[in-house]
Amino acid sequence: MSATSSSLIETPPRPESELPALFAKVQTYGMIAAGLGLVLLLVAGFLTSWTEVWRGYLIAYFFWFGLSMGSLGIVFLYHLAGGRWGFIVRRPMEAGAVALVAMLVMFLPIVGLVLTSNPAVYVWLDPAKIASDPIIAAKGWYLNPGAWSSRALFSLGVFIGFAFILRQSSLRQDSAPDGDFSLASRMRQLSGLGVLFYVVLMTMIAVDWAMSIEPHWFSAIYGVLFIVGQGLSVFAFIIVMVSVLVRFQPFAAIINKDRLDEYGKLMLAFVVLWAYVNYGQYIIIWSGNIHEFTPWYLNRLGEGWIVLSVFLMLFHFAVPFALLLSRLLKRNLRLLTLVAGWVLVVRLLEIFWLIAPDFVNSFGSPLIALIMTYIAAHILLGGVWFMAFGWVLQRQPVLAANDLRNDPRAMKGQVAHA
Amino acid sequence: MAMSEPLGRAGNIERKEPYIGPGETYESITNNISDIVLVHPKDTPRGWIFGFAIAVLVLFIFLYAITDLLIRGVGVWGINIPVAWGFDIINFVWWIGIGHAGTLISAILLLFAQDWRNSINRFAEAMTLFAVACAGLFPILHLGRPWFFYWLAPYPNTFGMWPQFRSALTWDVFAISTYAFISLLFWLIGLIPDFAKMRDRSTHPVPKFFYGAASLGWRGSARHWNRYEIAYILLAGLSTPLVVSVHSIISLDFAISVVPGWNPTVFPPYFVAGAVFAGFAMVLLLMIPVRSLYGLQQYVTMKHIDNMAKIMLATGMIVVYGYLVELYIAFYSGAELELALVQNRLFGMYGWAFWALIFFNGVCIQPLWFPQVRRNLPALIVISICVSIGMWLERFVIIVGSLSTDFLPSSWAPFTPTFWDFLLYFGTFGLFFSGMLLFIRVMPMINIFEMQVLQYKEDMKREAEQQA
Repeated sequence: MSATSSSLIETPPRPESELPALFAKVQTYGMIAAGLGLVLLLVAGFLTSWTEVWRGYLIAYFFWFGLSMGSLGIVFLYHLAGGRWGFIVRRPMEAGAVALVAMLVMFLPIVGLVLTSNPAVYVWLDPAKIASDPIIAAKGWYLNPGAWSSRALFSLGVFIGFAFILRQSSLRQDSAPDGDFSLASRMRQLSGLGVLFYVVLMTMIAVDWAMSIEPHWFSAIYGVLFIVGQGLSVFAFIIVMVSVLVRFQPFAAIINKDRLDEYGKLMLAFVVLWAYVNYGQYIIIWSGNIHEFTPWYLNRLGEGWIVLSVFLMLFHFAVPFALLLSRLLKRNLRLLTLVAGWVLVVRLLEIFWLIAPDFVNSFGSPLIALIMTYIAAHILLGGVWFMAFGWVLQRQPVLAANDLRNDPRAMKGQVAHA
Repeated sequence: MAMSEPLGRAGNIERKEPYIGPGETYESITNNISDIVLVHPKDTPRGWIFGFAIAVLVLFIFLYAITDLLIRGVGVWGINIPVAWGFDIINFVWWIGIGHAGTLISAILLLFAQDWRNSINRFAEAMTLFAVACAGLFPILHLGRPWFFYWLAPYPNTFGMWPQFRSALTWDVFAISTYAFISLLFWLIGLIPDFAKMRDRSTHPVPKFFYGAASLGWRGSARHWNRYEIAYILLAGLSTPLVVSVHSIISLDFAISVVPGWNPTVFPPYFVAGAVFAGFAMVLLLMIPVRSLYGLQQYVTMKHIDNMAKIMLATGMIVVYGYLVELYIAFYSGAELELALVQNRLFGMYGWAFWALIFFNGVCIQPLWFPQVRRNLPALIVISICVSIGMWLERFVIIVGSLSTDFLPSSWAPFTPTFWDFLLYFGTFGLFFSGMLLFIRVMPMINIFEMQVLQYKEDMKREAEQQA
């Protein structure tokens, strides 16, 4: 097979020198979106209520925070396991992880809300509820403003620390003679430790930030639901991103059908994993039929929400699953990108489904108001995320130069000779 | 033989370290692996004869224990109300978990193009089959009238009987029989090209006849290989969900009931990870002695052992996560029953078992973070034994710990296993090891042609490096 026929795009690739302009564009559009989102959120706030703004904001936050966390997870995974697919997206994923700094800034309003004991989002901050509800009162040792905020800031700090150290080491490796083995080894050790922190702290975050919205309910797999969702989001994002990057050098030379196939497989794995953990939780709660656990599903299977639940079963799992089984589709850039784009859309719905029904059914949020603020918050937070992402991408080489596992020069050579 | 091999300059980070020892050729691979099988019966290694004799002896103990059970009934065991599931179900879950490493290695690692699986997949698959055989016997024996086990199958009959499809026991029947069947098929199909090789290399007419029949007329034509590859990848695709589904169904045996401690929502993935964890411990436990006994260090290299140890560490950490998250959520919930459960699990009648399992499964695997330990064979054997004990204890804690203290304090009672409980468990090792030893003796335990594929890839890599 000649070099041209294995290429994924019809037009000749654009030079590497045009990439910074692309990233600058991402940053600019992100900034515009963030401004627009802020205005829309304020408008939505005036039209509805500030309570709904906080609620919509928190739900949307999970997606963009999750994208950064997913990126950090990929960086860890790459240092631990290698693989050419990881090498290609290593730098963008490092940038996505560093975007956690922006996400920390965007989380500060929520921390402020909790520290001022405003019960707009978390009912366990309401003194009247604490007095009347023995279960909420009993959780006071864990669910209180001070402890909650310290845990949140500590976790974000740890994640940001990992993201920064790994990015700095990675950039240092670029200029180190012969790749500097000790740096690679150190990044690997850090990543091993990082995965531990990731899983433990992310479980805690899921409980603190999301499960505690309905403080009576609990489920042991809840943290895993979030971690798997982050994995799925980030693989869908990677595919969409790769479909853009492949139009530019050096990516055009190293992204081929085999790599696409790998991204497709990994996304498929997470589509299945998502269904698996959700189904496991559902069947256990359904068969147990214990009043402590069932309200969560009753909220999601009654009055209109059932439509979204069934929709997710079909279009978050069944359809992407069936499509992604096809090897032809996974090797077709346009089709795979379409499926990945679709997965990103249903991810937004899934996160809404995961949290919003409790606000609507248990705490009286009007659904329309919540949807409005949710969309506005996405424009704001998405804008901020892309602004940070584009900003970081402009300030680093797009490929790691001295990667010990995957020598970029050799990879390019291999494609050219193939 | 050196017990631990030194790390190169790059430790284990460099991919340069090959998955096949130096100086091998296609011919040497075929000779070395097939000679183990084709050796004349009177030249069978003494170690094998000795091991097989012991295994058969234990197999007879197993048959003795079953005979006694069939004559006198399940009352010979320590089970009673409230602990109606005792060693039988513990052993069932333990054995079936051990099989999971084989399926993971053969199917999932194949789909993810992990070439290193080529050296160990057949051995691990054989382990799966014999482990499933051991496991499957326990629920059947537990039925009370095991000779009516076929009543669990939905077949037309004159009694107007139909299995209860809401019962997890019925799900088990389907999950395990499917698993056993697909695993067997996968294993046998993978053996066909090597059976043909054995047929062609046998000099005696008797083995020639049997290997010839087993190889189903394989001639190695391009069309054969094409069909073979398609069948193999399809079976890998079918086996992959089975790795997850079988142990998930088993976790649901517990989780769909409302016994305290049996229904955390994390059970399905946590059981699957535990199964793979125990499975890799067993693969290491068997592979390390076998590879040195038969001089297979060229094919099952330190890099393989290192990889297996890593998977064991990763799955072990998932299991530890399961323990911790259960405790964490119980504390978070503030619910009276959840807290009582934690209290009971940590400090109750079987608290010692919980702490022992934390030690064996949680603490003992931590040295695996260090590459030096992952390449130290005696250390790995000790850790694997710890994991095997720990995973058995885990099921003990879940089953006996929960049943002995259910929702009704007046019915709380401890469980005391009897001599027959221990004897039957001990006996299954006879079944398992006689099967494994026979497999080693009559079938090539490493996939010859897949090793040659690996050799080809290594040669290509070496050539490319030389050019560069």
